[in-house]
Amino acid sequence: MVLGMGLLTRQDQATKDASDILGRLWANESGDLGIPIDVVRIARKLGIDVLDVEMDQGISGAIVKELNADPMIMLNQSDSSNRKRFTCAHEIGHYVRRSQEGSPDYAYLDRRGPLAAQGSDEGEVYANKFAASLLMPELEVKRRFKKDATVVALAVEFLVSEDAMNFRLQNLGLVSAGRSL
Amino acid sequence: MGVKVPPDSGAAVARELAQGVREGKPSTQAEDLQNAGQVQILKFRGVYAWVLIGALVGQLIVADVVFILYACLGVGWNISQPIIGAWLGAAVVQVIGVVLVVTRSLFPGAQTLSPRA
Repeated sequence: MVLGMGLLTRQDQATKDASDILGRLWANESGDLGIPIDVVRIARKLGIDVLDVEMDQGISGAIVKELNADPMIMLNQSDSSNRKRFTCAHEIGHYVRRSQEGSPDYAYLDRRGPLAAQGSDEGEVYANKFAASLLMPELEVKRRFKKDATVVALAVEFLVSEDAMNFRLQNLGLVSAGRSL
Repeated sequence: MGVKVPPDSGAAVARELAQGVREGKPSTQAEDLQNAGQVQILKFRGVYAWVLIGALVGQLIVADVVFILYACLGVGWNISQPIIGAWLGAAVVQVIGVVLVVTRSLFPGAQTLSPRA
């Protein structure tokens, strides 16, 4: 129960942190968010170097921060652009969390597969929630969902995969699990 | 191919990847959306330009050939002025219409990106 509460708090924190970043680095003067969110641009505004790198197919990306060096996000160059966008947002999540903790040196590798999305590791849960909140801000999703949009249309608009959008809609309680539009 | 992934060595593999990049492992700056969009627009603009030129040349040839055949074989060059005007006018309108549709509708700007981007 305590662990559950802890994870819930972490997820709420991830949503809040993503919202803060969007407000600070992406929203225009009147607070409007341009959709789709350009996470590579946001990463660069945070001082992170973002590179496409050849890597094993089992890896979707990584972030490395070493002492006295700028953080570096590496994305699997053979991935689709939508996949890379999610990976980049996920790695930014690691960066934000570790920055809050004041960590000067860390490294994360993100592997592919269903377990990656359902990980129970606190850092991964945070990064996944952060990525979803950064790419698919709740208010923007709900606003567009009201217009009788389909998952495909929303996924295209936000430049994310249909799976990611479907998962987001379920998490926001807009569709029930196992059902898609 | 890249680094193989042994289980439970994520951070070490990540550092190995980063080290490889710093030592010259092939890598490119990830494209942001605006640049990616511009690259795509430029790429397709070139393709569309050639397709458009080909289509227009083809259309003009067909229109002229059909017109000449009609004039020569159909009516023995005895064509009334309104028919000549209508025929050539329609060809010009089609050409201008195709150019307008392609240039105005197929290359929208990146207005969806945030102005602060």
